[in-house]
Amino acid sequence: MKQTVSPELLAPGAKLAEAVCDASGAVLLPKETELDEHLISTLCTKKIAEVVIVIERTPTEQAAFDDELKAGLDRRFQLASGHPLMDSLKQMILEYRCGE
Amino acid sequence: MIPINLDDLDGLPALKPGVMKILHTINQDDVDITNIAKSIQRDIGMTAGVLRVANSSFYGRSNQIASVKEACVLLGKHTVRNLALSSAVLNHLTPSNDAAFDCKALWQHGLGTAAVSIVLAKQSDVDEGNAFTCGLLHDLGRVILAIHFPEHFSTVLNYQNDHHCLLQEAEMTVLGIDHAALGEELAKKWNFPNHICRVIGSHHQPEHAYKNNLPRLIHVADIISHGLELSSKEDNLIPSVDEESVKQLGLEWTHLRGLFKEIEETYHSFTSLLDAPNP
Repeated sequence: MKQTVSPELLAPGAKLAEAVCDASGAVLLPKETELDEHLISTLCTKKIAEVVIVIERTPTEQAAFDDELKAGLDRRFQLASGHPLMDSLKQMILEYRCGE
Repeated sequence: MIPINLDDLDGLPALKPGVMKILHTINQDDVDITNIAKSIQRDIGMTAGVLRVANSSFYGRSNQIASVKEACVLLGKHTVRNLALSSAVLNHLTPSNDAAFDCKALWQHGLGTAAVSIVLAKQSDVDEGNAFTCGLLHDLGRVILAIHFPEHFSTVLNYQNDHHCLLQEAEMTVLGIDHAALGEELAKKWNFPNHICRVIGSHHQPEHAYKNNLPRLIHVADIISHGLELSSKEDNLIPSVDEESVKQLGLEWTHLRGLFKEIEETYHSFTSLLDAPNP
């Protein structure tokens, strides 16, 4: 699972799910780098807007996450329920979010 | 019912005369690149907005675009005109921090819809520059309600919450007008190009667009943007998509799943626009 976060919110130990690049496209930090305080400080100094990190969940946490996600989608799609394209869209979003 | 009359819009602060003059100048058919660049550069906020989007990852350029003239050369006059209008409206409609509603979330939804729109535009026969601007501005009426009619807007939201209905249904019941019609009327008063006015007015009723694909594209993008929750505070009930619009755009619905990542990356590349200084 991945999550996009601002560098200010990172904690040491977080692992990059995607490489961090500068404005010219040069790789600053490769994918799977484990971040320490120094690297987090460097990301903040370079004003990197956001990074994508790996989120590791236990099976229980993952099940709770999936349930919450599905409940939110059911709530927001309730008036479009039964519409074939909308049911399909909801399912695609659910799979995308759960498979990140 | 606490109706809003279209005459109420006359009392709203208009875009600054200088900005209106710039938009008028750059939208002339025969204006050249040098004069477009000179006009835009008279406004710091508009210049900053054009360069921020021109340098976003959506345009995928390895070298930074440093001037409006360079943006005109590399992206084309039409795209820069669209970016200038978008920046002007964003700069004008950014409320103070003590405003009753968090308009940033509304603009985030606009940027989210812009991101979906330009990704879908690549799959359809729709101009990407128009897709960006219309996606960003389609909910102009909601922003106006939140900033200039906060009590009306609050009543609408309470009604929607109590009745579990779509926002536009609550607006029609409470205000006698919905945000689409309100936004279209204001866009006309601010002399937006006609095609943008039409999109703002018809994004919930794309069947009124007949064979014009731009309003249909924005209608579909709006729904996908709500579905993906690109704005951080999305909790809106989502209306059904118009099947005829999907058909006319030639979209392979089941292929959308493969576009979500590109849509999110495009959205994140645009979000710095909301940090633009208010000149």
